Amino acid sequence: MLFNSLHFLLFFPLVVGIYFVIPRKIRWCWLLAASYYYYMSWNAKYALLLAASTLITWLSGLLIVRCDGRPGGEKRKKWLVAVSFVSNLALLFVFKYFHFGLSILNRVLHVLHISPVQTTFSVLLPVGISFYILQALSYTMDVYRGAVKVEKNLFKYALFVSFFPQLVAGPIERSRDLLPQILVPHDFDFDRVRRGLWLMLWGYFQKLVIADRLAIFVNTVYGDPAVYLHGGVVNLTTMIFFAFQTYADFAGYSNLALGAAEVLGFRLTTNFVRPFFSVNITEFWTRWHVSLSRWFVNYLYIPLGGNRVSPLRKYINVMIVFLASGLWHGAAWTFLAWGGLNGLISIIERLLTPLWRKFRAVLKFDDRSALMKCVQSAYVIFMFGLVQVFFRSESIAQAVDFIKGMCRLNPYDLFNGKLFGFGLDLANFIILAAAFVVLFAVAWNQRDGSSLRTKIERQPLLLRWGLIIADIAAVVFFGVYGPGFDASQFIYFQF
Amino acid sequence: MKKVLSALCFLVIVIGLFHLSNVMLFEKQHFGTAKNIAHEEAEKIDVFFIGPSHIFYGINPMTIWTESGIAGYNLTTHQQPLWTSKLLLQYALKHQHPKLIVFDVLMATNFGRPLIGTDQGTNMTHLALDPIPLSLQKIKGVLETESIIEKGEILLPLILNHSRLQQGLLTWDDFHFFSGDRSHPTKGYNYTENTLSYDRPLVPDADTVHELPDGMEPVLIDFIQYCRGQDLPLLFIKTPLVGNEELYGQINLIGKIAEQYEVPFLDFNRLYDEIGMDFSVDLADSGHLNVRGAEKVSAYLAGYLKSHYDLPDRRGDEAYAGWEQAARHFKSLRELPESSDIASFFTAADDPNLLITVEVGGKTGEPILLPEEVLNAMHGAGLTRVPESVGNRTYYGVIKGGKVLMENDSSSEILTDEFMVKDTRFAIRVSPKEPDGGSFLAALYIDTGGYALTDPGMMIAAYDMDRMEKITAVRCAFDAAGTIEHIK
Repeated sequence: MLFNSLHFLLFFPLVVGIYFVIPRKIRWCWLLAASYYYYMSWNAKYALLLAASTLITWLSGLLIVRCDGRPGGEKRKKWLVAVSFVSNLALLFVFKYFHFGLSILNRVLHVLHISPVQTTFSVLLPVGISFYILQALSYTMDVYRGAVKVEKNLFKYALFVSFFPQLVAGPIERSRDLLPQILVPHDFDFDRVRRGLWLMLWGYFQKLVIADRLAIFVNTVYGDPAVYLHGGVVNLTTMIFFAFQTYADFAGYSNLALGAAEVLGFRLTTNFVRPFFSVNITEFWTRWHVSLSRWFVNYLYIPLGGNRVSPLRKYINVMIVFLASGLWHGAAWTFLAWGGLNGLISIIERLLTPLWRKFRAVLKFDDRSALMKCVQSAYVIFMFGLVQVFFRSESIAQAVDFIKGMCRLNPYDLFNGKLFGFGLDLANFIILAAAFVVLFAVAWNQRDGSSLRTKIERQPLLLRWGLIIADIAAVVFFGVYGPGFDASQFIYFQF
Repeated sequence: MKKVLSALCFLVIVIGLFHLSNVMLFEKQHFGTAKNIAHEEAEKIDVFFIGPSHIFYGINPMTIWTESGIAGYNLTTHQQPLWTSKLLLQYALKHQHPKLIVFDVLMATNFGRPLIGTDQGTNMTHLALDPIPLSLQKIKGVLETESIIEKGEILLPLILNHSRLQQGLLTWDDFHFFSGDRSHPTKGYNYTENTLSYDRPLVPDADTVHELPDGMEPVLIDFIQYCRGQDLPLLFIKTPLVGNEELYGQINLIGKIAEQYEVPFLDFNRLYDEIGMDFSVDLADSGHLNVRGAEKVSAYLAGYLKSHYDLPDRRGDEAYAGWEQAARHFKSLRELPESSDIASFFTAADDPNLLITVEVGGKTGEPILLPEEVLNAMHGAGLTRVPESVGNRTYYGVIKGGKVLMENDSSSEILTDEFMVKDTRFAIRVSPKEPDGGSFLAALYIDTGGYALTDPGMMIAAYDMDRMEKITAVRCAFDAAGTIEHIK
């Protein structure tokens, strides 16, 4: 049940309507039932996985707390954390990395002239498994660290793991943030519901008007070697388009998740903080998919020693985190390369920072000037787009071919109408241009960290209604959906 | 409370805009009469003729009206899927209480097979049901209809139709669907003179039967039960067609089902001699009748209905002026292309769906008098500036929907004018030649095509604004022989 499916458009109002009508005490039960129904709409069997991960981490929490004050308790607690992590990661490995691991093993066996391991094991990747397993593991670790009180009610805890707005693609919530919200009832608040719906509407705009439109162009180019092997300007455009497609797709999803949660009375982590306004890729990764970055920092980077180690070790830690992040995104060499490249760029930027500061001091650059901000944004978009080529490609070879093809630049292709030959005609480019202006305007209005929704709330009724109706009209009339277009999977649903 | 009221107002506005968008964006095919039925006067239609294109080409309510005074209406769409007929009828019954349902069974045969479980079936369901506004009845009907696969898309046709806006496919009809008279000018009949010749088919005897496509029989029976439940007499028909043995066998099987459920069945494929069917001239193609074939079938059907059912003769009843007007429009379509009477163009000009252009000029220095009956007819149509004598004068006039749209005359200037009808541009040019240059030149351009007249006289063009098609254009020389020539 994708957020952009008709099924969800029926499901969500029904869930919300019943949620606020039933007694407060059992509202969380309704949400738990709705969440499992939501997850089972993909494949009912995979609810067992969700339940297994829930049960393991819930038990780990209970047992960890029991160890407090007992002799040998600390050691036992560490064992319990390890058991929880290993068993959850084993689930993840079996369903996500088994075939990738086997292919590596068979390569090694091939080198050693040993027969490859054959298997008939075939399974579809359960949707959202990478997200809810990380979220569940955060609970084990938070209980271990004493950052959160243990939850004794299995079903309330199950709602923390399965809360449907963020179940399949995040934001990955920390137990200390989300669990307390589950324990208190939420009443109907008109303003909050309205704000939540506005955010959902904006999410639909990002997904249906921008991301899915860009996807037509991107898929056409990536699907045709005859194009991308000699693409030049076409490849460059595709690269930039895919950077924005990923952003609009994932930020759109996150806004839908945040909005849906807000309607129900929950506040989730803001996952995107105008990432293309970052000064460099290092900062970019603190503003892009914030909840995942935070998870890796809290539960991997800091346990590895974080910044309190030698510079070399720190850079190794950075690389480990990015490689892990790459592997988390997908079981393929392309994702490992993607993580490695991001790590490399981040390390290079850190290494060059002192040099850059000196250079800036000598030439008296103002980092905050409009021109520098434009240059920084252009750099971030270009570098992110370049690395995303590996994210989008089916193989390393395809990514390399794509980048080689991009080098065959013929600027004339920008003006001879060639770009209209990849699924988007002039009208679609105009719609995209207008949508980009809106995207930029929204980000610009939030540059001081203020809420655009609060600003809209202060506007006169007619202007407010006009804006909302214009947004609805844009989604309805200019959204990419309907026959000929499958309700497009959100890119991050595959993780 | 204020906030809740405000939210409700907002919701009403959004739903209203959503409804308007749906109305604007659905595809308005000329023959999709579901879009027009809501705009027929309530409680007027006595007989619904329901079915696919074989009805809108094969049954002519105007012939039936002229022959019997029965107020009939074709409730049809292209390839109307069997399962949509019931929903269309349900919708029509909101405002009409017919005394009889006549149903063409074509879509229960192999013709309906490509629609079962396919995108084509979904598209045809859209054509039939998109014009019906969303209501509880529509929701219930669509949800209960197993044959409709894409239920969400059918209930919210914007899912399909919003792409028409992005692809620039909207037409004049889409933007103006909210205004004007939306009743169908020929009561659902689709006029065509196209002709293809066929040999008279060999129709197997009534005992030769072939199975219907899977799932069709229950839908057919459901339709019978629905009509029975509504206390509506039902008559099955099948218009003449050129088919194979399997198709005729399926029609025969439907005859058996009809018999079982006591539904009378009029299979015109068993009545070729009785209706005077001539396969060399009466078909537009192997399945569709042209205007001649439709007249024969409709005249027979009119007699059958009159003799078998107690249906009132509405002729002369002022409340049924719409049928009278439709009959006049059909008469114009049918007779003007053959007419040799100039006055008939002007007497027909009060038809709201007719456009008449007239351009007149003579040879410089050689005045000719317009015949008095022509002048009178033109005056009668409201054209007041037409000169009695043309020679050194030029003139043009345009009558649109019974009203004079423009009129001008001159002794020396080149006259030009243009106007739009829906998306079509019309341009007129009338120019006198120099004294030594001989006769005048008149032209009518319709978009990129047009007609011209280079000899003295008059050029008249009649245009059907409903179908946006030329009916005919004639040149009249007003010479001694009074020649009238239809421009091909």
